[in-house]
Amino acid sequence: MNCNHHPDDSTLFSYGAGSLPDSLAMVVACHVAVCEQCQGKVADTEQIGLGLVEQEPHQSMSSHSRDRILDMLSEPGIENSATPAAQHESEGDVPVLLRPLLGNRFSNLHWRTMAPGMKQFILPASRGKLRLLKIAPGTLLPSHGHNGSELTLVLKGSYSDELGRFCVGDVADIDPDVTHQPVADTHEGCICLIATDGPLRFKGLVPRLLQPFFQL
Amino acid sequence: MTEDLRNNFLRTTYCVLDNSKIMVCLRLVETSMELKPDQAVQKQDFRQILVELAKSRDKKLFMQLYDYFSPRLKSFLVRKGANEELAEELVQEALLSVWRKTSSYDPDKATASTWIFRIARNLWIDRLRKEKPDMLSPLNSYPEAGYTPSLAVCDSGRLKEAMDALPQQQAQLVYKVYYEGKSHREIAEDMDMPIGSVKSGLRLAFDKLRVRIGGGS
Repeated sequence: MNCNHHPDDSTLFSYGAGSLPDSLAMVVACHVAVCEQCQGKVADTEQIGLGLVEQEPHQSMSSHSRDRILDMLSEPGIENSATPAAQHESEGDVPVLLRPLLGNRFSNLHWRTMAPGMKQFILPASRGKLRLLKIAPGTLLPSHGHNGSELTLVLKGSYSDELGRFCVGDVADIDPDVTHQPVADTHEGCICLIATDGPLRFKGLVPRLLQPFFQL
Repeated sequence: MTEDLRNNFLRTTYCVLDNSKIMVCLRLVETSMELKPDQAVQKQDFRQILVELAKSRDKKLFMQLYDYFSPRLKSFLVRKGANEELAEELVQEALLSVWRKTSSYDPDKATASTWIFRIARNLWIDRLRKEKPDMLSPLNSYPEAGYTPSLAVCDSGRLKEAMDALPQQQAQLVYKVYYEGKSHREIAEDMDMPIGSVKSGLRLAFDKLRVRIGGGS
């Protein structure tokens, strides 16, 4: 897929190192799955990671672990217990990576209305927040900044803000000092996967008051 | 490596590939040939071992991989914050996955070590996610297949030189990402600097390291 907006190199770097909070890592994983350019960069980060691992003392495994894995190799069923990706590959508009969590179609989700033209669906994450946001055509989101990193991946439709136009597959990797006000700019509306690792900072009073209710 | 040997290696290993892919493989083989002889043989062997394993299911062969990778993966995971017990459990799980998934390993798409490292890293992220009590379900399906190959086979010596050449602050940022497993926000707090500066420092460091290890552009 040809994407116009990618995660920042520093984000790919941390992703490849396994050091991004899982909420952010999920957004990056969904983008990398469809973006060859970023796949190449992630592969480079992995090579760097391996090189760095080589430079420190290795930690030997406890004595019985070798025997144990040999036993496990002989266990019946081990050959067939791989998780088959195929079961998720039927029709649907949800990215394959998210299907184990969401099913195949966005329309089957129980969206929660946050404001006129805005619905959300919260996904599990151990660090940071991960949510789907569905924005009706023409809806303008409240202007906001961030206290940490924010990564947004467009899954359906498109939106525009001060930083440009974002279409399916594009990622907005937004620094905390950036304030932006996205608007869904096509007739089909827009669905995004958004990860944050710090609370949002709204400018208006009403969004600020509503913030705790929507776990923003 | 003689021409004969190389052709033989390519025929046996990549017999199903078309010409363009064979060219990619040739470049990969040649990249690894630039390394010191013993290292080159080693890296290439792992690739071959994985391909062989898919066919032969030879446990002895698998244990060669196990003996090489388990202490490395363990140190990687302990660095990330796993305790001894969890690290070993994840190493076992990762290498069992390797055993199960050998048939989906594509030597054209990733070096053996990258592939194995990636499996371990994804298990680690999954484990973090599972620690949260209200998780809907585990997620084991980070992208694995379909990766663009990195033509850079990382020479540890060259990487060390590249690390030593980094300005101190950038080296510290890399260290915190890889060895301490810290997020950009945590690093910003640790080092008392804005997240934007953490990111730009990492960007610069990544650029330099990629150039030095021969990847990137």
